[in-house]
Amino acid sequence: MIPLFIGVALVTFFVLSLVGDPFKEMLLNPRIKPEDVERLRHAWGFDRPVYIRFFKWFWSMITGNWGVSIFAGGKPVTELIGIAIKYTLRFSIAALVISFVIAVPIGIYSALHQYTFFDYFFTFIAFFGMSMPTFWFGFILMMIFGVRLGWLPIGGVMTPGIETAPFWARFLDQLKYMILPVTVLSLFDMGSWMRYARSSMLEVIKQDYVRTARAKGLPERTVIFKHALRNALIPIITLLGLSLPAVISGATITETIFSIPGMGRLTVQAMLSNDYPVAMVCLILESTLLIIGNLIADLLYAVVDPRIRYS
Amino acid sequence: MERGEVLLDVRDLKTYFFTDDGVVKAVDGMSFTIHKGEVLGLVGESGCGKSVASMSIMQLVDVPGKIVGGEIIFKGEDLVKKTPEQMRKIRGAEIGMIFQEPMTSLNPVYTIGDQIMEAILVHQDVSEEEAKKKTIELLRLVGIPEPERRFNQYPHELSGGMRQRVMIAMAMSCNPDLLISDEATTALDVTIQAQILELMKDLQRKTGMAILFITHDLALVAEMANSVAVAYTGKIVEYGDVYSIFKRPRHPYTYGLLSSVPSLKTEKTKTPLPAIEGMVPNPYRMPSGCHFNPRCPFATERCRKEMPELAEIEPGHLVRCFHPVAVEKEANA
Amino acid sequence: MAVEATKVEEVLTGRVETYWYLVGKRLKKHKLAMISLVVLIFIILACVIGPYLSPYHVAALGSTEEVMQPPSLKHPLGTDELGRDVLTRLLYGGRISLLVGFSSVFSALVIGIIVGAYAGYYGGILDTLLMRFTDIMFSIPVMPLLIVLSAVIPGSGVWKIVLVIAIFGWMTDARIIRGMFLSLRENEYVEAARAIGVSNNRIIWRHILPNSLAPIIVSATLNVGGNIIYEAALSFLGFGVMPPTPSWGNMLQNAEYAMAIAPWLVWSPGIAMFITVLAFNYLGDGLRDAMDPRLYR
Repeated sequence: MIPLFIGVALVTFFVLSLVGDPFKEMLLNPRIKPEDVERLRHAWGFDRPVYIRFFKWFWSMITGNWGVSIFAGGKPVTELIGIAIKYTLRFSIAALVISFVIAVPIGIYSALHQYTFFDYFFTFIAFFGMSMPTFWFGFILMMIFGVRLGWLPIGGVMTPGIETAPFWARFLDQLKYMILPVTVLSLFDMGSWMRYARSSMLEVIKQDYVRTARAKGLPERTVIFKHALRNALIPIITLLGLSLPAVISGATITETIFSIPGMGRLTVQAMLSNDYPVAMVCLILESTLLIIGNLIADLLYAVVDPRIRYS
Repeated sequence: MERGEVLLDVRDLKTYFFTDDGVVKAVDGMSFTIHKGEVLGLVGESGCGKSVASMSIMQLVDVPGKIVGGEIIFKGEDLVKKTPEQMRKIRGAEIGMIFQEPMTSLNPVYTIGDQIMEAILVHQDVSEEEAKKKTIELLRLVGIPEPERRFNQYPHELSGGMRQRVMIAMAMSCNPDLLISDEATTALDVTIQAQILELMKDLQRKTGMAILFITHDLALVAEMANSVAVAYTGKIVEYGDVYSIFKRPRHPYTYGLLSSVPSLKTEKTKTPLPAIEGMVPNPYRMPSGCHFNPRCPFATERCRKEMPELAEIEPGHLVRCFHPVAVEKEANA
Repeated sequence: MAVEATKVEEVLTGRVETYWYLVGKRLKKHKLAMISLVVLIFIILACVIGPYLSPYHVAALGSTEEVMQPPSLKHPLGTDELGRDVLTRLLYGGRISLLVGFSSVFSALVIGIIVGAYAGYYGGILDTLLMRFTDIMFSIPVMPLLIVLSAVIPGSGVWKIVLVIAIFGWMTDARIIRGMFLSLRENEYVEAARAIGVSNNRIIWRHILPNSLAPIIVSATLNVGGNIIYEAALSFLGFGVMPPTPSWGNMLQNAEYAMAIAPWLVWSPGIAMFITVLAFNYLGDGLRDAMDPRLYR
């Protein structure tokens, strides 16, 4: 795992360095003297070759010094990320919980009632969700609910000026802002969870041990809920582990459309403005989470499936 | 051999599968009887309908299959007419069943103790304590060493033979009158196979239960069964007690099957092993008349046009053929 | 195995029914998949031939009265902010989007197959190395780097996008192929081929690979749809296909302000994309059902 981490850090750093010198653009500004740019460059260490920069950066990462942002007024990276994560988490977790809680039972029910109207209807819904380009869908929703009907706000996280209002007012207000983005965020996942749950359940029902359970004279409810469901949920739970990274890294496009100051937007902005410290931390965070997410998925698998525990 | 009263009477059972490509008549008019304490061997090649017959008895036939005709009289009542709830009470309690693949027939996420116990708890009004005691007793009965420890183990921790013993324990947990064994030993090593068969015979002697022993292996039938029913393309083509069938097989198919089993004698004479010509017909394209006629060396015009009925050729020995074979076979068992 | 079962069928019916024939037969039963196939063929034809048939040129700017016109008989889908005919642009953009979709999937497939085949067949150190590399690529967050790469690599347009998407998309296919190779190389016909002296490469490409294609075909079909959306997202953000070349993605770039005054500019590319991706998804799903040997209706 460690080599993996190093490898990822290396690749990410090098790709990012392709973007080039963050101070290049400053040179174009006639009001900034070239010597000042040179001074800045030296202060930030950008006059050194890439590999040296990498080691210096890597060392400071490990020792906990995550640096300050080049462009956001020298604010520490941790502070910037802290703010962004707060918003991203809120939306991502809501979307994850909603899509999981709604989609999985529907998927399982579909599997148990294959070829009925319910099954066909929700299969269509699932495909709808999976085929819909999220950013376009976001727009359509904004257009209908925000512009035409005026029911819901079209961006941001709360009404300006509401910070002084009592807790409940603020809470409800923020909830209003969450509805559209969360809907857009959860659409695709709902579709794929539904299909996944359905196919997992379908496969389990055909298994021999379900036949054995019936042959024992167990009531159908026990056969489905005790024997089949438990096995069908195994792959789904591990998928849950794999969805963890996305929760933190945020959905770049949705955040951009709805003007949510979250991790996704932060990462992209940082990358494009060559704000190295911020960008690198964001990227490394995401990579680490991906790796951890894999680990968690494996662990969950072992917890849920006794066959894996011993090997 | 003294036969007890009739336990299971299958009359003209018809189970058809309605697929997109046509109707498959998996079981097409099967009839056989099992008496109390008797072991009936149901023999036939793959695809002859024996498994479907056993699933039909348990009323576990899945779409697109459906029982379309016939009666299954168990202890005087027709199972076909039972409601799902009534049938559920019978399954596991009065009729037990064990399957071919011990690897996949047990649920991998629950302990074997749990799985046996649930069969007991669902049919009998006992406490969990008692059920657990009974389970451990059962495990001991089927020959699993250290039953208390095994109780908490998962199926993947046991070998194939042991898993099959667990299946037997599970099937017998409520003292059923009939045990259906659907190719239960086919997937096991020969030595383990012998052990399991011994176990089954032993249990049968102790409890007096009847066994419907389904297999394609004639040698096993000779060892286990009191009576034999030979199945071909969904019908029974020959039926009788084990000695008659093996000594005086009347149907050309049975005769062919028995001839194709190598014996010590065959080696000495160095004649090639006779095999039945041709293959089992495509279920979507059954030959007309007697289904066996394309492969039968004695087929006549009549055979190609008419389907023979199951008729008694000697007391207790029925054959479905217009020209039964009349040769004594040497006892091979 | 599916292949051997068909040999029996061959003998019984006297007709040679190869694996692919059976797959095709089963696919035909899947009504939605067949409808999707027809729809896709129609869309592809429309995008390829359409622009030639249109009275308008893709980049033809309209006069000031013609700017931002709602759909009419003259312009069935209206005009955009520069007076260009939306329908023509849509069809032309479809060409681009479809091209990107297909070629990115194809390129990813090629890379993935090469990596997966050699890793799976040879095993050992090569396998470990290749899989470590795959793991690293997997752990790299895609979206951000996609954006960076497309901003950094010089040149505009289509092939850049294809390359960029392919670079991040080959890993799943590699894993699938590797898995197939790991199991298939144990088959006897591989041993037999080696015994006769067939070279390793030939074994890989002629013998094992054709048998491992089934799961890939399904994932490839589904990926075309996904990649079309990817390209659209990138173009929408400004990194993909650059104007004036239209693509379904960059046609949505000005959607934000067009939303209020010219909604038709927002609907057409979106619906076109949605239907196309939906069709690919249904087709892929149908293919998956048709190829699964265990799934009988």
